[in-house]
Amino acid sequence: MPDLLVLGIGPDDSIDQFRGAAGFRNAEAWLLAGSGHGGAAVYLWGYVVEMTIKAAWFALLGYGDDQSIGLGDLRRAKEKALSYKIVWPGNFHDLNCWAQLLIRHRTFLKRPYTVYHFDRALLAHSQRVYNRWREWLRYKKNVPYPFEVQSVAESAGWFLKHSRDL
Amino acid sequence: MPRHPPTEPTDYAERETLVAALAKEIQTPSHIGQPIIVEKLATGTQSIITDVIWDQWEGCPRELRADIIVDAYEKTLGAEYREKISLALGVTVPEAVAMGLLPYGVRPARRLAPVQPSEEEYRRAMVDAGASTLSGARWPILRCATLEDAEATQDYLQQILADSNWIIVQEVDPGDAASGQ
Repeated sequence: MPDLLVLGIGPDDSIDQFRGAAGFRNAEAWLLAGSGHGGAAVYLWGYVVEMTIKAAWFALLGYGDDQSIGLGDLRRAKEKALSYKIVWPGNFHDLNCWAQLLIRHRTFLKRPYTVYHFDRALLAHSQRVYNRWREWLRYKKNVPYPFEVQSVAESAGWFLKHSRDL
Repeated sequence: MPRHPPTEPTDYAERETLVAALAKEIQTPSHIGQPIIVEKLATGTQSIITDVIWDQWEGCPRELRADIIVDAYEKTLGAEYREKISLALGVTVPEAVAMGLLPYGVRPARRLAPVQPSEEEYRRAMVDAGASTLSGARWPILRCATLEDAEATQDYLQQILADSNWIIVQEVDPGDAASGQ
């Protein structure tokens, strides 16, 4: 019998975990959106983007796909953002900060995006999702408009399509 | 209407001093004290993640710290090694403690014995072993990245301060999994 849902799962994450989970949550989000549960779909798509962008950050640093990613690694990212004068007031869910950090650090490493205006697209999509998503949405009874669900779906799709280019 | 003239890139008068001091430490690491240099391998590309924990960063703009670190590495280990560094982080001891990078602490364990060093002697020994005084607290902060470092620090302190007693404490990070929630 396979492990039950939370058994056997260690506390640490990895690029592989992030990308795999992003794929699963995206599929689930489409099912939810298609059955009229737009709020739940947006809730999952936000995490799809978060996991995809975090995976991109650690891939940029050269982490192996199965290399453990712990809380210290996330704190390093936030500290690095501070050194780039990126204001990151909240927790690790801030999609805009992750996007800015990726762009700035790529410049530092002299590995900027080669596709013209890709950085702008990254910022635009992260902002579009983050304008409609917070991890605390689960506590709220708000229901999104259909256009909000659609735009979050489009942007989450963009992130998944470019997950290896970020 | 406000005018926003172009600004010069930030610079720091102590930059070269820090590069030289750090290069020396990379070349010949001390067993005790600061800076604490922790390198981690990113296994996908064999890149290096390096944390330089050093109170000398106090006053140095954060945006310059990574440049100083990679310059020091280049000076010591060459341009090829510099290229391998994918993340360089310069933080002070209090900043590193807040980030959970220094989980082991060495603290005085003073006893009610007839002969024992004074509080001031304990304090001086801690500073000599690399404790941070930046926080301005009653006791300096003496922290280490690994248990081995903490044990070496404890041995050192017992050697330099006769009749002293020290304990090692491990701070357990209350943080959740890497997902952040």
